[in-house]
Amino acid sequence: MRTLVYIELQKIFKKWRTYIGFIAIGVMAPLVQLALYFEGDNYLNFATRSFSDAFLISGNLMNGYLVGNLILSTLFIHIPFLIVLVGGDLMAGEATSGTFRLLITRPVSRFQLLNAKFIAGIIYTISLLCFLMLMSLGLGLLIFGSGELISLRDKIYIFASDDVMWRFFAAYGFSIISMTTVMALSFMFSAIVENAIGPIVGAMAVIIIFMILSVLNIDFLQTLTPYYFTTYMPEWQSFFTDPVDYSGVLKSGLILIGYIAVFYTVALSLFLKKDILS
Amino acid sequence: MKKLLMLLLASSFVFAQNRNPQQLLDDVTNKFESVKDYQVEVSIKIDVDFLKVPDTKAKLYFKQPDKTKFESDGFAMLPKQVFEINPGKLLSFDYTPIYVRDEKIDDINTAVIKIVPNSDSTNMLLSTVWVDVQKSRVQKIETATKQGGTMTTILAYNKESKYPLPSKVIVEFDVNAPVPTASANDQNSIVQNKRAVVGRRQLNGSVTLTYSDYKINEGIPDSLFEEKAAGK
Amino acid sequence: MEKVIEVKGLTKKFKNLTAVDDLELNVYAGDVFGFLGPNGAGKSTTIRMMLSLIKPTKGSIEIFGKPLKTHRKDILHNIGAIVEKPDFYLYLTAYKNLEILGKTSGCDVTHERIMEMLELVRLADRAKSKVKTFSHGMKQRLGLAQALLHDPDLIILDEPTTGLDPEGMKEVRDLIINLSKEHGKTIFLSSHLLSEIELIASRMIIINKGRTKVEGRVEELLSSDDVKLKIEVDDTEKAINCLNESRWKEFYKGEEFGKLIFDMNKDEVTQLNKFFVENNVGVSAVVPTRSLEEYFLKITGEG
Repeated sequence: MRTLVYIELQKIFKKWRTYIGFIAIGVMAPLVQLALYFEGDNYLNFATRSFSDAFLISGNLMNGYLVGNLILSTLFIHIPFLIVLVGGDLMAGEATSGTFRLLITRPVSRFQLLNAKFIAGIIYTISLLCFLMLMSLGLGLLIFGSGELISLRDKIYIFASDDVMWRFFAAYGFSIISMTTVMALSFMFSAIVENAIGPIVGAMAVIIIFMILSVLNIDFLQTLTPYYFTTYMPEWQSFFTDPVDYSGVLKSGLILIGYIAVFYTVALSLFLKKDILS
Repeated sequence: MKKLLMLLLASSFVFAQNRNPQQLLDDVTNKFESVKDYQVEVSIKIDVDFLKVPDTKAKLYFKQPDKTKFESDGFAMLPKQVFEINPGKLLSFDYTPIYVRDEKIDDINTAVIKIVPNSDSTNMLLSTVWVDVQKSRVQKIETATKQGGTMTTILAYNKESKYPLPSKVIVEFDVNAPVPTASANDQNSIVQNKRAVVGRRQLNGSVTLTYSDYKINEGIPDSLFEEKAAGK
Repeated sequence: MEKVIEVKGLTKKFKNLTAVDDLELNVYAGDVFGFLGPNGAGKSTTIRMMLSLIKPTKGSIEIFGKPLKTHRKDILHNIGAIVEKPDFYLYLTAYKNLEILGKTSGCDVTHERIMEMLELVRLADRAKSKVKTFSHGMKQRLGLAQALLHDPDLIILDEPTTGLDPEGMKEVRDLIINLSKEHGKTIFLSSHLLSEIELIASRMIIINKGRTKVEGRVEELLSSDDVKLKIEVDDTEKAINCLNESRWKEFYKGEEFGKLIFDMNKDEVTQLNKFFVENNVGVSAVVPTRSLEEYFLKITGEG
C-alpha cells in the first residue's frame, strides 16, 4: 500500500495543477501581511475601539499571531477550492486520460487503488494546510514578531503569548478534518464521472450552496443546517475562545468524520462496481 | 441645566452636617503633594463581560504634578481611570463641591462630596467622592459620564502606609461603548473594514489592580516620561 | 495441451444492448490466438472482461486454470495487456510511466529491465521525454513495452500495430512470433489486419454480434476443397473465348488486372490447366487467392 500511495503522490505532485494551491497561498499570505504591515493599525484601532477609550494598552497586538489568525480565517472559501482542484481529479483524471485501463489490469485490487488515491488526497490536504501555516503564521512571526493574540469572536479575546501556539496547532488540526471532508466530497464526485471539471465545480457548488442556505433567515432552511457538513467546518474557531468548547469541537469533529466516511464509502462502492469503458 | 442640578443638590442637603467640602478636598490634594514621585508594580485582573483578557503585570510611574507612564514587558491593559484618581488630576478642573453626608466604609469615616463641573469641557457629568476625613485620602469615586453609565473606583490602602497611595484599586464599569459585533464568521469582513457592523453596547465589568513594591520619592528623571509612551 | 484461457457462456448486457452473448473460447499455452470480428462484434468488451475492467453479466472466465473472479490478482500478475489505444500519464516521462506501472504490477522492476524494454521497442533514446511529446506510433510501442515489462506468460494485445509504419508492423509481428516460439508465451491478439493474423496466428476465433462463429486452427479453418484462383495467361481474349464455350464457364468469375479469376474445387485445377494447354493458351501463373479476409467476410456475412 505504501508503494501505491507513493506512486499516487508522485502523480499528484508532478501535475502543474497541484501547485496552483501552493502558489496561491504563497502569493496571498505575503500580500495580506504586506497590507497589514502598512494598514494593521487601522484594523487594531477598529478591533480595540470598544475599550481603547477606557483603557491604556501596552504591548504588540499587531504580531504574527494576529496575522496568522486573520489568514486562517480565509479558510472558508479559498482553501476548499484549492483542495477540490486536486481531489476532483484523483479518480476522474485517470478516466479522462484513459489510464484506468493500465492500472486496473495490474495485480492490485480496486480497493487498494482507491485507498491509495484517497490517502494521497489526504496527504495533499495536510501538506497544503502545513504550507498555509508556514506562510501565514511562520512568516507572520518572522515579520511581525510574537505577542498576545487578539481574536474577535462572540467576545473580544486576548490570549497571553504563551497561550497561543497550541491553539493554532489545534485549529489547524481541526482544519485538517474540515478540509479532508471537502476533499472526500470532491473525491466521491470524481469516482462518479469521467471528467475532472464536474467534480471540481460540483464540490464547490455544494459548499457554496450549503453556506448560503445556512445564513438565509428562513425557518425551514434553518432547521436543515444541522445536516450541512459546512455547518461544522468552522468549529476550529472555538480554539480561539475561552473556555474552549471541547464538547462542541468533539461533536463537530465526529460529524465531519462521519461525512468523510459516507463520501468515501459511496466512492468505494461505485468504483468497485464500475465498468471501465474509458 | 447644570445650575438647576446644583440648586437641587444643595437644597436637598440643607439639613446635612456642616463640613467644608472644599477644605476636605484641599486636604486630600495637600496630602498627596507629599508624594513627589513614585513607581509601582501593578497586577491587573480584568473581568468585563465581552472581553476576555489574561491577567497581566505592568509598571506605573508618576511624578508631580501630572507626569504619568505605564509600561509592561508584554501586553497589558490599564484603565485610564487609574491616573484620573490621582488627586491632582481628579480635581484639576473648575468645579463646585457639595458636601452631602458622612458615611462609613469598612469602619472608615468618610465624607461624601459631590463634585459638579462648572464647564462642559470634561467628560464627566457628576462625580461623587468618599473622602477619609482622618487620613485625607480618597476611598471611593463614583463618576457619571456623558456617554451614559457610571464608573466606580474603590481604593484600599495598607494600614501602615503614610502616603495616600492605594494598595488595591477596583474599577467597576457600567458604560455605553462602541463594540465591533463581529461574529466568528465575520473576521474577514473586519479585515476589509467595509462591511463590519459596529454597534454600541453596555461595557460592564470590573478591573482589579493590585499594587506592590512602591518606590516613593526616590527620584524619577523627567527623561523617563519623555520616552515614547508604551501605552496608547 | 494446457488451457490458458477458457471462456464459457460469457455474456455482457449494457441496459438494452447485449454486447457479448454466450461466448465460448479456448486458448492453449503457446498459442498465437487471433481474435477477430467486425466492428461492434464485442471484441473489446470481451477483452475488458478478461482483464476485469468490466464485470460479466453471466458466464465464467478461467485463466491459467483459475477463475478470474476469485483469483484476479494472481492471474493479472502474469498478464501483460494493451487495451485499445495505449494511454499513459502524458505529464510523466516514458521511463517514469514504465517505472510506475512496473511497481504497480507488484514486481521489482529494475532500471535495467525498463531500459531493456525501451530498447526492445526502440524508445531507449526517448526514455526521459514526456509521453505527451510522443507520436501515436511511439505510444503504441511504449504500450508494448509496458505489456512485456514484468515478463508475463499471457500477453493480450488489442490492435497492437495500429499507427505503426510497415517497418514497425513487421517488428511487432516478429516480436510476437519470437515471444511465442522462443519464449513460449501465449499471445491473445485482436486485430483488424487480417493478413497479419493469417501470417502469425496459430489458432483463431471469429465472433459476430457477441457470439462465436468459428474457432479452431487457422490452417484448418482456411483449408477447404474450394479455392479461388488467379490465372495469368498470355492471351486473355483467346482464353475467355475458349472458356465461354466450355464447362469451365461456370467457374469463371471474371477478370482482374488481366488475370482470370476462378472459384472452383482444388482437385480440378490441373484439369483447367490442361484445358488451357490444349487450347493453345499459355498459362504463366496460377495463384490461389483464398484468404482469411474472404473467409472472414463469408463467416460474418452469414450472421
